[in-house]
Amino acid sequence: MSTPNQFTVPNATEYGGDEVSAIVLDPGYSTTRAGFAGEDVPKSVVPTYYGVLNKSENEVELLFGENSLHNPVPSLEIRNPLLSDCSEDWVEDWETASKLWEYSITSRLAGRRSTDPKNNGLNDPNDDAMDVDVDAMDDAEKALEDNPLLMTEPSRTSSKTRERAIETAIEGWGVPAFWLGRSGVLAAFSAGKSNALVVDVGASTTTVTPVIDGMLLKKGVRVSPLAGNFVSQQIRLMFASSQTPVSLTPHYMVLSKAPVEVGQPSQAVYRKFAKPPTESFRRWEEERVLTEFKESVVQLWGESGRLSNGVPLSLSEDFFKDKSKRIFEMPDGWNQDFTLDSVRPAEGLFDEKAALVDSDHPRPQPEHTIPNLIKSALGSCDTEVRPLLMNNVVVVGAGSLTQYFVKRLEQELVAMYAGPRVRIYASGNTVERKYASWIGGSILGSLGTFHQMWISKKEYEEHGANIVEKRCK
Amino acid sequence: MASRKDVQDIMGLPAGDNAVKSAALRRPKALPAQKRVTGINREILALHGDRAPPISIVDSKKTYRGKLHRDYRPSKWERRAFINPARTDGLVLRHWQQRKAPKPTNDAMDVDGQTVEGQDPDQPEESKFAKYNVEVTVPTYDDATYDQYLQSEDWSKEETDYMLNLVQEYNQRWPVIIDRYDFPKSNSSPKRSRNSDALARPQDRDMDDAEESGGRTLEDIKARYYDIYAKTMSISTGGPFNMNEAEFQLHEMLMKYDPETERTRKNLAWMLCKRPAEEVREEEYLLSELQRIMMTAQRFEAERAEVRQRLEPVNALGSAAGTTAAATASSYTALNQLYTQLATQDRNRKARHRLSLASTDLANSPAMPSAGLATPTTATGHRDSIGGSGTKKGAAPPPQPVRQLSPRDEARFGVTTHERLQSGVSFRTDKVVKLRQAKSQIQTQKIGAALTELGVPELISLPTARVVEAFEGLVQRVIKLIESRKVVEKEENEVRVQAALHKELVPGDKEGTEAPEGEATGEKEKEKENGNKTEAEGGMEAPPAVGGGEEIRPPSSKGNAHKRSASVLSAASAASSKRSRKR
Ligand SMILES: Nc1ncnc2c1ncn2[C@@H]1O[C@H](COP(=O)(O)OP(=O)(O)O)[C@@H](O)[C@H]1O
Repeated sequence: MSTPNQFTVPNATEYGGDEVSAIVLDPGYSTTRAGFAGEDVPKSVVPTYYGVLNKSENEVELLFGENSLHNPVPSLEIRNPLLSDCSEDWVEDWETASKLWEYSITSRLAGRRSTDPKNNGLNDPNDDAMDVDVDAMDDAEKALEDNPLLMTEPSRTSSKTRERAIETAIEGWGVPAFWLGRSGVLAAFSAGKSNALVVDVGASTTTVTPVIDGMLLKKGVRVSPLAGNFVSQQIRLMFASSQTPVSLTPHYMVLSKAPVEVGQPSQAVYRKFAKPPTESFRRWEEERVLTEFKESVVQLWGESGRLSNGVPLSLSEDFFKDKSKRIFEMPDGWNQDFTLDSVRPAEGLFDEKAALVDSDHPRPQPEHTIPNLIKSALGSCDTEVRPLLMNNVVVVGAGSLTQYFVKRLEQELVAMYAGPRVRIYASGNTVERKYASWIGGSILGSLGTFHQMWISKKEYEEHGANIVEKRCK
Repeated sequence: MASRKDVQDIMGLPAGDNAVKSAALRRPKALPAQKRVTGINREILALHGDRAPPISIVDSKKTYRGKLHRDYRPSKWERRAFINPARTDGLVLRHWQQRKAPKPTNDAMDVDGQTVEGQDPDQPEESKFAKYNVEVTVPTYDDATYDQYLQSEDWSKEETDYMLNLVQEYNQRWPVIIDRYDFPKSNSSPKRSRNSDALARPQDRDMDDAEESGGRTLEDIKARYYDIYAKTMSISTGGPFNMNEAEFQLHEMLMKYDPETERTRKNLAWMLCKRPAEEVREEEYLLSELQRIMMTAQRFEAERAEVRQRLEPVNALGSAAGTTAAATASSYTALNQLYTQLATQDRNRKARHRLSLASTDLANSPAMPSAGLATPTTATGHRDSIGGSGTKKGAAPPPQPVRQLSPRDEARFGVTTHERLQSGVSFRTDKVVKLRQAKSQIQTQKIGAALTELGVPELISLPTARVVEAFEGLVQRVIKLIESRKVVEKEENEVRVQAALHKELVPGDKEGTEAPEGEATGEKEKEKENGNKTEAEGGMEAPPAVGGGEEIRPPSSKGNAHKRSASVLSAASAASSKRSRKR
């Protein structure tokens, strides 16, 4: 075989995997995903929220992991170490974030090597033991000395955060090699594309990322706060503004419930708390209910004709008649038919005028709607690549799982750009959609050709943290 | 049943040491014994006979399984360290690999601090993926070269360097390069913090305007890069004249890059993409409409053409072909063209009445010339005769030929009309032979002799219609000649007899001779009548041959006359054969 050069393409058969037990870490706002490169799904998915438990005056315990966050313990605060706005410094609290990420890796993947199985937390039968106090590990050996780490980051980050990330990984966790990938680019890889316009509807942000030849087009990245959390907020507003205000009762408050007719007041027996759990805990638990609501009720208006002010027109009401009813039951047994309201919460993602507002939540800016994000992202790319991008729109993120999201997006794009052929690639597999950027990282990290991309510890020591800017372009 | 121990007891044998031995003895024996299948009725098991049961029978009473038997040894894998030569830092990574044959090594290696607690003493092997680490080459230059050749008004050397670096870094991926291009010096506009900028970016701001890479557009950068590329290439190879083919072409291509056209091209392309839906729909509608119109027009045109075909006399076609034939030396192509033309026409109206004399006739024509070209004259002659007679027969049915051919064309295409035709195929050669035959043998011989005398060959090489016609006339005249000769001979004999009689009678008249004379005169009268008749006919037809009347003509003069006609004939036949060959 002739040696490859810049003009020859290697054979398709020559690309190959060569796994080096790399770990892929994909920290999202709602969940943090971690797993071994080369696997199909992340082995470890933990909430990015963490609990702060004040044990005594000056002893604070941090709780990580799904299992430890749902106990209605008094004075348990639920927090998120990441910033929910669309700023470049996407991490608010690096210290906790790094602990949380480390937990997501060590809890299920690479425990501390050669430590006694009795106290590495993996074999403990008790649920609560999952949240081992990570501080104790500091003086122990570094957790990840065996595994190169591929970490994802949002498409737009400041170089400060990037340097911080490599610092954390190499100095904090002792990884031998590190690489930082843009989640948008990796999501494109997960769809098998090196040219794509990635639309990622996550929890805190919706990001539109143009990718050309496997490279991010920085100037084309658009971020907006209209995403999963925004939809949750819309649902809250909708509940509050309906004629019979809907009470959002989280599971932990309900001791027992009895079935009631549609629309009838609930007959639940509520739990009594001597000292009620904190506000943040309640919100976190409510969020759980809202996610359920999003999954089962919320849909997008995918038919022709706009909604007038977020409410389907009378004609549209007919349309809903022959569809299955969308009845949602709250944890306390109260239930209602949300068929007509089901299109309202998510409409704001596409049409800012349809968004529900109140004094605390002003109308979103028009340029933050998804169609306008795409329009603006395309506008700042070279004209020549625009049709290519339109032809490869990749939709990822759990927020995009909202029913009829893809259909609606396609309608909007076709209405906007009739000329180039608009083609949307959205995996039908919810796991692939939710964990797209992790999967992309898993693919990338297991490639034999990726070995030369790693930033090794030695390089980091030689060049300093700034090397991440040079290498992870 | 008594066990061995019982037997031993009975026989008073010592049991102790033997028991051990027997156990040792028994074990190898027990092994070959077939494994008993338990947990199933013996009768049912017997039904299977020797063959294995169709389902596997598993002993459910057994609580644990025996050791898994494999007939191969699992290969040994190990977590081996390797390095990638594409890296400069000697990072040692580890992957699972099948173990190779053990290799004794004693030097514990320590490449650098990266070594992850190597239990593996082997030198880390090299990754096979290193070869894919390829870089693009960008033009290089030193300061002197730059100052001499590469200076540019709106490009500083620093920016040029920066640009070239970027091109190399991003492997000439232009969309990415323009995206990352951020040369501070020329970036006159104050850099906005991208954070707030993107959030508050008016939605349509950058739909159309140029990129904001310090005022540089992708076309500017490309133009500069290509310019430098071309110049350095020209310098390194020593001018365009010393370049090889590929280099020269590349150079040409680089020189031809025009940012302006590129820009307009891109903008046009994007304008096309940006059209609103209505426009696109309108275009689609117009396109389909256009297609519809085209199709209708085509159909209409075809119908019109057919009507015109039917109304138009064939003359136009024929004469058109005729003129073409006249213009070009080879009428073959013209004729062939005409033929195909007519054939397609003919096919088009298959269902309709087949009326074309010309086309049926012409159907033969392509075979004819091709044979004429390929084979000697004789063969052509046969072909022609076949074709000709076929023509006559085939052309028979329509009583009234619809197309009127001019006489010239008729001759040209060999079109003939007949009152009545005999059925079946006849050959002109047959006809020629038949003509030579007379009722009596002597007559036939005479005709033959006359013809040989005239120099007409036994076998007429090219019996075209005209040749045969001429031949027929000739033979008729020959027959007439022979007849008249006979009469002449008779008359002469008579005359001689009468003269002798007269001689005898004048000196002394004898009555005995009267009667024969009367008979003779009677005969003579008859002969005369006959002769007159033939003469009259002959005179009407061929004056030169019968010019002599009752006169005794010398054979020579006769021969002359015939020769002349024969030569005429041969000339005619030569001409016709020539013509037929030409076709
Ligand atoms: N089936 C679903 N339909 C609609 N929204 C969903 C669904 N599943 C999860 N979500 C929402 O998606 C968001 C999480 O998206 P994700 O892509 O995991 O975000 P991130 O990458 O920021 O962690 C949450 O707000 C959650 O409520």
